Amino acid sequence: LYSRSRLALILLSLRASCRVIRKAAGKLALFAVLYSFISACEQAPTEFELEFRLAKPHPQNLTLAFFLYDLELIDPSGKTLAVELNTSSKHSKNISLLHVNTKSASLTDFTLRARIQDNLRPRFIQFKVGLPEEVNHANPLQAEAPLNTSSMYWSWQQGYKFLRIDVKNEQSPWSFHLGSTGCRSPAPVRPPEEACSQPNRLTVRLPLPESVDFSREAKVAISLKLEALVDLVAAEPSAEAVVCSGNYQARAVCKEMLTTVGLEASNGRCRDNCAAQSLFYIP
Amino acid sequence: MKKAWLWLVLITFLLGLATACGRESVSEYSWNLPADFPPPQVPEDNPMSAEKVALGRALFFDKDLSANKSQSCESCHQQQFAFAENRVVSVGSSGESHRRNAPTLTNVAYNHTFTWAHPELKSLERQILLPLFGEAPIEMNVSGNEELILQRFAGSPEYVQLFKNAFPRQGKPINFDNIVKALASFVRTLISFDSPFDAYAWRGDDSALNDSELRGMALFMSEELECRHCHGGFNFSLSSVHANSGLSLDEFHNTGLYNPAAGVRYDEGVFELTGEDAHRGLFRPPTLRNVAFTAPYMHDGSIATLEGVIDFYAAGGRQINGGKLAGDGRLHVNKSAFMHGFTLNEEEKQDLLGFLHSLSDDDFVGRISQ
Repeated sequence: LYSRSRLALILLSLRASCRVIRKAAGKLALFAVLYSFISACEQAPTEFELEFRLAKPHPQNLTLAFFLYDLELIDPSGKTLAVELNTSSKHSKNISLLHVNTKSASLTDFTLRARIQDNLRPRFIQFKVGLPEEVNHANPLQAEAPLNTSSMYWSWQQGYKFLRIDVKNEQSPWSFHLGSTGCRSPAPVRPPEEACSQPNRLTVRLPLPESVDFSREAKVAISLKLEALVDLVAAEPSAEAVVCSGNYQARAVCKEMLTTVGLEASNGRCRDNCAAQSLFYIP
Repeated sequence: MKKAWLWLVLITFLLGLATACGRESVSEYSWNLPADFPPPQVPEDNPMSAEKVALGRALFFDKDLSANKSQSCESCHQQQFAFAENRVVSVGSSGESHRRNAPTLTNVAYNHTFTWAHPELKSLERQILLPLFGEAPIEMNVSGNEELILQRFAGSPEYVQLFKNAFPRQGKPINFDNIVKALASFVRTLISFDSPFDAYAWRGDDSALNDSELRGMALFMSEELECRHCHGGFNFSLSSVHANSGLSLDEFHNTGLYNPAAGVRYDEGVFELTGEDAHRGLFRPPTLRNVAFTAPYMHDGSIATLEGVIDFYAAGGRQINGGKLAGDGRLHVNKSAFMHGFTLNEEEKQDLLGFLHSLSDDDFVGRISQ
């Protein structure tokens, strides 16, 4: 009861502040400043937090990183609402680099904050894993955050690793680096003139729990389940370390890794709109 | 009201003055980099200046910086070898051997970490303390001889002027803090982005590489050879950062060089600092720029030639058949998953070698001291 009363008091004072500001706006000299205050009072964008978690069990000595872009919320009628990411050294307005290392103490780089302008009750959250084509093959020397991470970079021709998972354990170290393949240009340091034949971009659409209320500051927690990938590595009959990095069709285990993330290895496109991906889920 | 405005102007002026006084540098430094190349990161407490670089350059080549006047920094980081050395391991001013090979200083300003295997050593200013003051092994042997060495510079009118120019706001600028800052400023200028590869890649000169070198580049960047997983990016080392860099994810690797019997003591890289078994045998991938000048190779200089290095990677590591270090490095539990070996025919090997030679910046190995 006490906290509710306190909240009510805060809300009343905020409303009162807005009224006071409106009254004071009579003076012309202060009008511009006060108008921006009023705007802020009435149209403050809603912020929400998108947190990625590693579902247990997960391998030890794991490094996982991926680029996320085109984050959207989708309402029951199918209307999409673009979401703007809070820019930082890891995120631009549309692209974010999320990464986690099971050895590091903090997982803070595995969350991002975003803003929406309208109130709505979205039913799905959607994002793409990868980078837009024009960004993927831009001059790497001019790359701005979060594209300025050399460990996520292949070459000008092939672009970036969209998703990388590296497990360094003694029993079975393995790596899965996902990015566009079939990119044609005269040399690895020349950008392709046409889009790569296997884009390998993954679209993830997940149903939102009823409890997430975007009219207030909300938090959406998305889990990453690595079990299926771990099982694939464990079932690999060859003694050779599993390294799936660009040559996905060369090994059965790599083809199956692409299937696990919802992609068809032969053409690098989503199978059934990527609905079959089993890497990301909301518990 | 007027008084208040006057106070405001005065305070702003004083604040500006105080900020200016806090700065050490006396001139803006121009990196003179090729178009689009980002400058390196520079620590806030040691901004670049032409005057500091001039002092650092003089100190770098001066044997007076070692206690017995027998060595300068350049003794082990020789310009003709791209600021590396053509010895298996370095020998300090007292004759004591180092256990590791002197790494190239090519683009050292872009290193994320320093030495061969030190995840926490992230500033040149701290790294330079090791060869100057280190006692195991002794290199320049400054420790305990500080005053002797400082007096040499204090007695030289040229150095007095160089120190005064570099640190004009200090009453007594001849000290080791300033020596380290000046040396760091100078080695940050050892930048090399003018190889035939750069002409082809960044300046769009299609004739800069021949067909063999282009085939070698395709091999180098291929998933069969996997070279780029550790030697990728603008500096051919993923342990590189620049002023606009993001995070660095994967910096140290075990390439399967050694795997002796349990209990044998040898150089185990990052493990020696962290004590974690997962770090046994992990070392930083050096830049491959100017690699043709920097033989012998690996952290201990144990591979004499570039051909030998290619053979080593093709074999997925190294088996040593006799002696204390006998064992099969290819079977080391920490060996990188990318070290799975590959097969090249003789022509492909020559193509790859040709590409590695195309990373040579001929100007760089002859231009700094001129």
